[in-house]
Amino acid sequence: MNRVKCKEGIEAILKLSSCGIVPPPLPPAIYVSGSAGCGKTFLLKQILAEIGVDVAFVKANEIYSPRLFYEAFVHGIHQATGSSAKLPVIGDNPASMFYAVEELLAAHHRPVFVMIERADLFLKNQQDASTALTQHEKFVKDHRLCVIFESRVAFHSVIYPKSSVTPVIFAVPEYSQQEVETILRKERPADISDVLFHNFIQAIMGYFYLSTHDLRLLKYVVKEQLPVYAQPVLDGSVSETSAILLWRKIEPIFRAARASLFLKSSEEEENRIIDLPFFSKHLLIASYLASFNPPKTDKRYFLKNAGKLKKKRSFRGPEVKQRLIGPLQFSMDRLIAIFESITETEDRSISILSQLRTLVRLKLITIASSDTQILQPKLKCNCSEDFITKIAHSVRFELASYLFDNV
Amino acid sequence: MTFDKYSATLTISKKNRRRGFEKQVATISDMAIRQKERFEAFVEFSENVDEKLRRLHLDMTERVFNEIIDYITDVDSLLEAERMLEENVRLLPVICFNTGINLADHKATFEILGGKIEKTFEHCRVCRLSANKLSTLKATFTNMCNQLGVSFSVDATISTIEQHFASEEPPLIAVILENCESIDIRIFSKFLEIVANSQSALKIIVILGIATDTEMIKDLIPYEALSLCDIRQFRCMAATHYLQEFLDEEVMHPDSYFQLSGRCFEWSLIEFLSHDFSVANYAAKLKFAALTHYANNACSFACQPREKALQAAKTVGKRELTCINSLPSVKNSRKESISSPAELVVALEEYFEDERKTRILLKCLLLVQSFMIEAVFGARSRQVYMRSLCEALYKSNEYRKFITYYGVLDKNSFIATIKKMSALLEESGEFEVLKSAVEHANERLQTEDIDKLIEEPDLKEPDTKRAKRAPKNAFELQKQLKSMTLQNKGPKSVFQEIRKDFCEKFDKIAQKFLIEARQDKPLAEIFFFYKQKMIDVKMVPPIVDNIERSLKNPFLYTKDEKMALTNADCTNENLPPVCVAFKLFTQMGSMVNVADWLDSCTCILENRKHKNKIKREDMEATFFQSVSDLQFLGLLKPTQRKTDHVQKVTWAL
Repeated sequence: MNRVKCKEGIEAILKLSSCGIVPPPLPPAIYVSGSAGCGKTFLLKQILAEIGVDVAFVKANEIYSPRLFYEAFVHGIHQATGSSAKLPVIGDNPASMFYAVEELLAAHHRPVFVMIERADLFLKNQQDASTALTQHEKFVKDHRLCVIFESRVAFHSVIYPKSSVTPVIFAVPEYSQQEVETILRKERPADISDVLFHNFIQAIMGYFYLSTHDLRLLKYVVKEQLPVYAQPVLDGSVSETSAILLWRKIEPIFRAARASLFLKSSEEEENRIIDLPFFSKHLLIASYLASFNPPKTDKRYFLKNAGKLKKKRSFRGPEVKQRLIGPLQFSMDRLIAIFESITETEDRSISILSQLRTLVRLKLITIASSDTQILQPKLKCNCSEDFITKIAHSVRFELASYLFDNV
Repeated sequence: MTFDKYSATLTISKKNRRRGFEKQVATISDMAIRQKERFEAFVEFSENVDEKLRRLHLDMTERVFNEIIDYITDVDSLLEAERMLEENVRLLPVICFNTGINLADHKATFEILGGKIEKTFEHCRVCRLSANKLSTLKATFTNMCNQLGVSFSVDATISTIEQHFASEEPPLIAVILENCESIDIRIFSKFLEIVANSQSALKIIVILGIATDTEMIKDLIPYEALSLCDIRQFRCMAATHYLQEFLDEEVMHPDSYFQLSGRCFEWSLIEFLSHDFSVANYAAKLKFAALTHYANNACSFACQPREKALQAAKTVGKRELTCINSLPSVKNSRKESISSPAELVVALEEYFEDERKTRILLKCLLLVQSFMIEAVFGARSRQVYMRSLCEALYKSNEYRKFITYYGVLDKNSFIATIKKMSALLEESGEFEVLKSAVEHANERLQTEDIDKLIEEPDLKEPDTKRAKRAPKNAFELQKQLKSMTLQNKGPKSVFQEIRKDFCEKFDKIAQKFLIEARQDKPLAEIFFFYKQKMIDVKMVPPIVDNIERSLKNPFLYTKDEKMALTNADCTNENLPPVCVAFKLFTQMGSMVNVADWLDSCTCILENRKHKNKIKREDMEATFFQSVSDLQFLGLLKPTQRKTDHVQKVTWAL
């Protein structure tokens, strides 16, 4: 299996590097990549614990400034070496970090591994610090430091400093279906029989594995659904071997759970509309019309006397429906003009504009132009057709008769 | 005139003057006392509104907060067990608390929630973060540390909090993210990831205040963060229900004294439903109306709870009586004016009694209406309330329709209305006439055989030849049937008789109380606030109109005589350049040639240029500054359709 090969590879390198009688020099960096929930961190921690080396952990997703990284790095090594010396004050430069690291390693005499979790974020966001870190062998003597980059992104997709030595690369593959099944079987509670749990896992794998391969999510589903699945058996109404009867009972619940799988939410309210003031609803409808109708059709829909419609049609190939392309950008002038037309009001008070701002904040309408463009921002409607239809229905607005490519 | 006479006259006039002065002083002191009374009445009213609002908010959120607390308790114990079993706990409990978009009410909601969590869990810390404090991760954690009392040297992170609680049992930390749709999504998802990763060392629960929908959160947050969250939805009461509760408690309650007139009430409702959806803002408008009423209405000293109003009426002076007698409603309704405090007390007692009974009657109307095939007065209680304020309900077509429907209500529904009305009258207090009518009907319904048929009088056979003959056409048949129906119109069973009796009694009572609009009843001006325009201008200021007014006539604001204009459309050289530019701008078409505009503007300001020896370049600079200001106000925008032109925007002034 790839996983085993990968584990063996990492293990071999680490063992050779750290435990040999005449140790070969440590590789400056190891890059381990794999998708979320594939067990990279677990694998590395297990190997490092088996070998029994000193490890420091740095969580890169918490780091938002180089200084924080330097502090976390030194702090990690300080803990890994078990030094009793007082932590030095770290400045906002890599030299300060390397000086402190070298002092700690000099007193320790053993190699130290530093595992950087979510290294993809670190390499992307902290480029100065990452450039310095990947060249640590230039600043730390005797090659007694090895940095393990644990990343969710493959090595060729990250911005790894060109001037640095390429690390030893490992790619941890995803768990196979069988492996997932084996891991899930270990979740069996003591009061559930083997047969029942086996049937349950089979049902889960058959129903949910198609939607997600994420082990964490599947574990969550197992925890959530097991009591419901086992209830008829515990009641005594159904035998634990009658898998088909149990399946019939659980199937509707599974269907609902799959619908809200990534939300991990049990409650699903179907026909619910967001509570919005009357004019906000009309602003949303106006924005939807502005997004999905071409500007040239505004005259036809929103003017009382639009004049005669041209019957002549030019053939320029098949027309593509706007709803398939997505929302168009529109200016605020156009939005307000449509709004005034559909509400038949001339209420241009500041409250309308403030409501528009609220809709932007709620992300129901998005600003398509840059933030610096304050005078004529371009907007876009961010609502689905179903949502707008519900909103229009609540204010008794016939949306269909105002949409250009409704048919 | 001799000296003696003169001195005598002088002495008398001096005496008179002293008396006058003393009188004036007495009047002024009386007025001051009354003003103080009015102010105190307003303070009491305002405090009452605040208290009711707070209590309503508590009641409104109690159920959902209890559910949240139960969920937190469960999750806390589950996570605790998981922490003992596993080393790496990464599941983050997230409570999606749907609060609606009424931002003004959120403050109170989250305050109550935070307080309740802290009260329920002994070892718990609450951290409230609003979107404007979460611009960066640094700001987020700095705020979080500050609220948790965690000290840090340079930059705060989750590790800082972990280290702070490393030596002790970590408390349950409830992080409330208010208006979370406004938070930068990158920061938001990173924050969730970081917090989820620290779940092994800390106990954190995230509460998201959302205005839209949980689906929205699902769409916004990337899967990396979403997969770490265990999201549960909770929903607050809808803003419209909250308003209805507030109206029932404060405005439409039989004991409430200060009232908005029909137009004011309608305006405030439209403002709520069309614009802000905030009950706190509605209450603010109500309080402002009350403040204006108490400040400007000299008779408003009696606008107090019944007992206090009667007490205040006992001590009224002549000046106040004159003031009350000059009220249009008093002038129209009374032949003789109110001449003594005792009469005023009687009149006020009548008003209070009448108003209380009217409100009970309105409740009865709504109650009966709920059993009918159609809600004739409107589905909501506020609709019938609003109509009763500004129109004579008894004279309306809707009331006729109502009484007709009531006259043909089926047996079960009629019995139910009588029972419910009886219960309502028990709760509401005295209303003898209606109560006795209801009791009488109820007693008859219980004691008599209601299905028993009443003996009908013998129908006389038509005597005339014309009537005897068989109908020749449809018209004649219709006529004959109509006449037969009229003969059979009387009640046929005991139930129908009871129903008819009760309807007639109810109609008489309604005639007495609903024959006149409530805001036009005698002494209504003391209790009603009518100035809808004023409250509109003050509470929803027309900013665009104000800007337009100031640009058209700067004298209104600067009070500089030179800038005074005979006509708002004319212009002169002494106006500020931006005003001149604006006046010219309003006279132009949708595309404005900037060069022509500059020429016209310079032409007007020519005299000033010569007088103050201003260079042409300076004039041009001033003009472009003015154009830039107008562009900033959103009146015009640059265009590429024509060179040297700017375009007026659609929603310009």
